[in-house]
Amino acid sequence: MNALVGAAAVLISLAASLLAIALLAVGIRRGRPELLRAGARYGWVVLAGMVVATAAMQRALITRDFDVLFVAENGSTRTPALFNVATMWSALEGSILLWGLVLAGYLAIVVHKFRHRLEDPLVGWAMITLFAVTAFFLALMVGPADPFVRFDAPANYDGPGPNPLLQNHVLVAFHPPMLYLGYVGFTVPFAFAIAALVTGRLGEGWLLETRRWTLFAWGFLTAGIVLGGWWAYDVLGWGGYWGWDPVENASFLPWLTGTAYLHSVLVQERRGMLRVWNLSLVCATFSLTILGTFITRSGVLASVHNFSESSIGAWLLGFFALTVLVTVGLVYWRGDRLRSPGRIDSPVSREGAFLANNLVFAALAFIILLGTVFPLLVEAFQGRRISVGVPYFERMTMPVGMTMLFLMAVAPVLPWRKASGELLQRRLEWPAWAGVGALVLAVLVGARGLAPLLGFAMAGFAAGAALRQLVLATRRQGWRGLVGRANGGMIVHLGVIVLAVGFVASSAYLRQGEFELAPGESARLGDTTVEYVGSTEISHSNRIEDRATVIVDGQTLHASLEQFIGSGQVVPVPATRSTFTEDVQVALLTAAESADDTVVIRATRQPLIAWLWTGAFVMLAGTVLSAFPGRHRRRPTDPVSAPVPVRERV
Amino acid sequence: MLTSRRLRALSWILMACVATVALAYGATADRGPQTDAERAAALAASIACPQCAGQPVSESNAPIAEVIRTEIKQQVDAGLTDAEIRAVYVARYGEWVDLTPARSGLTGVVWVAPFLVIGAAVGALALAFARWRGPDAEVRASADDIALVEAARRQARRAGP
Amino acid sequence: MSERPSAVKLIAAVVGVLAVGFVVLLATRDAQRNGPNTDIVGQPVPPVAGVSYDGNRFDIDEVLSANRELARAEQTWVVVNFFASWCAPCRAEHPDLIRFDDQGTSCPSRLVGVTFQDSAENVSSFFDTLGGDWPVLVGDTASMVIDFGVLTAPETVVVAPSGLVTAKIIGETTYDQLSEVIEC
Repeated sequence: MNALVGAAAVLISLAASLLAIALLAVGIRRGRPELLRAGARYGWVVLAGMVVATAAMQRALITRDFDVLFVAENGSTRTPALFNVATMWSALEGSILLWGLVLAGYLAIVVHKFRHRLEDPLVGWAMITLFAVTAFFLALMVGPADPFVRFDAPANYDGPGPNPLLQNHVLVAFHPPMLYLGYVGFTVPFAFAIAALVTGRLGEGWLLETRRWTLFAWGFLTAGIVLGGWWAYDVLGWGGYWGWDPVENASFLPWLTGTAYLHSVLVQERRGMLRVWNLSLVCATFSLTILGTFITRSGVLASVHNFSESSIGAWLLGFFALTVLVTVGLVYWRGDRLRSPGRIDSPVSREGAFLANNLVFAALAFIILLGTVFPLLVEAFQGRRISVGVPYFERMTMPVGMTMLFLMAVAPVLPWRKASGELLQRRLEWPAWAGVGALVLAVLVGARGLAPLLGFAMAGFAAGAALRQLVLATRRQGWRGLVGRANGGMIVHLGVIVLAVGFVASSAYLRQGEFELAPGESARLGDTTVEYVGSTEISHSNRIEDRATVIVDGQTLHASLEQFIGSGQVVPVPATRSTFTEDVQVALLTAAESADDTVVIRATRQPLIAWLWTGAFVMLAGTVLSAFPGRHRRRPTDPVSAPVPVRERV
Repeated sequence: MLTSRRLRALSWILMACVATVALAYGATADRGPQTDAERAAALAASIACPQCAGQPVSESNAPIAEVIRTEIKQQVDAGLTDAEIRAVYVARYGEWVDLTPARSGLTGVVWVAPFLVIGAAVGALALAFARWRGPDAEVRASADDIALVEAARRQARRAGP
Repeated sequence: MSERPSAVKLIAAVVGVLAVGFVVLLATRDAQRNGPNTDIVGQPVPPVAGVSYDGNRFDIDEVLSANRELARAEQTWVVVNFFASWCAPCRAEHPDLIRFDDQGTSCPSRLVGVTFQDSAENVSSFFDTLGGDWPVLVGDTASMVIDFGVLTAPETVVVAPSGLVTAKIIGETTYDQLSEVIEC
């Protein structure tokens, strides 16, 4: 029953999307606004269908309905109840279903938000693009990635359950949905970019109108990526949170172009410039999310995050090609209209800094993309397999990261159009002292090494500049100095800086040791004491846990090895002692066979790990604050670089 | 006379001095020679586990990863150099277990290409700036622009005064 | 049009061409897999020496140097089986190995096991439960495992009497497979 309802709902959504595209296309061609309204309204049907399909899948998972093949392959009676909900996105078909649900949700919100402008052909084209993307993912669900295939379950059948690593931590319920809210959110500004290109109305403010959408999508993507790092840190056992793995890199690329876009669009708003950059960045962000989806599901690059192989890869690659070629084709066609009326007067100006920012982010994205796909290039031309791993990425991204911190310090104090050396000296004085202060503090605390120290100095410099802006704004406007685009942005910068400091410190000063300990014995890692107390064995519904009790610097922790009954896989569950200045993580490598047997424990000490999560939290808080509406209201059809009417907030 | 400008200049000079001293001290202060354990850990972080999806042996619980970690420690204790140790694993398992791409041959392109591309982009931008500021700095209307303006003018005329 | 093509169009064209090339590259790749490592076939066998779980020493050099004194038909083949007590497919192939050890094939052959990430006690109880009686090297076998390019258990290497490796079997092996490979 669930399978039937689900499959029918998906089909209905697909039919509604296709019908909507037809209505919208005819409406635009024949100039019939009522068709545009009617077509857009089908968005609600699409949403309804996806909600029903998701509900059907969740019902099947929660009730362990093994008549659905997806549940039979991924569910189990032994899986704890909470993880059943998350099982939907733990495997390929269900993940596409989640994508479709989020996409339908965004589609409906767009229909609602633009309900007074549905008769504008530009909105019509945006809706066509959105429906087309939705139709593609729905078609995947009807064809190669059908989650509602039926299964003839034998009596007493029990499934294997999801991968053990996907059912032992609560973040499995948050990381993928957040990521998808981010990825899919970028479809909306992409749709409006395509619409602007197609209609040729490139002088209006549509891209600015959708900036808030992009901001929210960016916020979700940031949260999703950080949650992924936190999850990895919590479960893997060697203190790692970012591995430069192909799928991780693929998720980072749209984040980079999206961040560049959020900055660069300000130049378009203020001076009507960098339009080609902005359109390219928006379209690149969306294309990169499709590329990321392809890499995760096709297996061309080996990754721990890969879903099971299927034929879906070819479809996703084709869709990626289509997206890129459509974008490139449209930009080529409209090339002449994209030339800006203005010119950047001086490289040392806010515009110049944003242009440099675009370059730096594009450079970083290029380096990461190149490193990720380079093994494929070498294999294609020379037939041998090489690896481009962590050493490459760390070495190449470090100078770019420093440049970004430097730009973060200098750009907020730069005025538009032109800056004099005198002005820069004046405004950058106390941020520079903050940087030197951070450097001296780091040296005093014991940090050594040129690269990390430079990083801390740059971070201090950037933090000084951000704080300076906030102090000036709050002095002028009181509490309003903390909200709004510019001020919220400075808070986001502060979050990035805190995160960057945490990243540099934890990578550069990591210490790790493996110790074989008998009950009562202790070992030292630097000036941290790790004492092994004893072990117990605990049985759960789906796994058997070997739990070792360890005392780290006075705090009692439990590190375990869990063996899952369904698959036999053994999964470590490390424990962490976390303070604001450092984290000590202990993982059980070899469990005790008997009460007096020895265990092998790995202890990892990393400074400033907590700064990673704190920084991310500040980033998200800043994002929310920066979404606060400002005093200037503009309509999407107002030409950009026309003066903005200042209306008091209603 | 100590004008605010001179004060500021002094402040910057002082800043530069403090920064240089701190950096020089922090960068060169002896952390001690790299211990054997640190060398082994660094090597383990740059050799891939042959059974995994690209993770280094330091980040895998696979049995072969633990074997290789043990062996690396023994090799470091025996006095082999980093290059020699890496060569052993490359010879046994293939080039792909070395996570640091080679610096020569086609593989070396991955180290060089970013600099070339970024250099080209910066160069192109510098060229664009020079052209913008140069004698040819006026904006010329393209045929497309002229057509757009004509169409708008016609429409305005039709709409009446 | 007498105008020179705008920079935007030029860059768009270049990006388009690069994108097509990129997509073609991705489309022509197979799934990336860690291939089976059979480089060692045709090479002289690496050292295989150590202490078995029952305390006896084993050194493949002894077998190979003895082979040099013997007539062709009497020379012994050596089958090196990488195994571990925690490995499920090893259990599955164990009866075949017992048969191989008992019956042999057309040529004289010896079976020696090498275990890794395992203990003498586990190996001992494995053999007590499932039978079999051939030397299994325990302890510090790391260099042997790496010398043979082993990815995981089970892997079996067949060594000709001259000391050359003639075959490497990845995964479970069977009696038939071994007798096929061993020819005098």
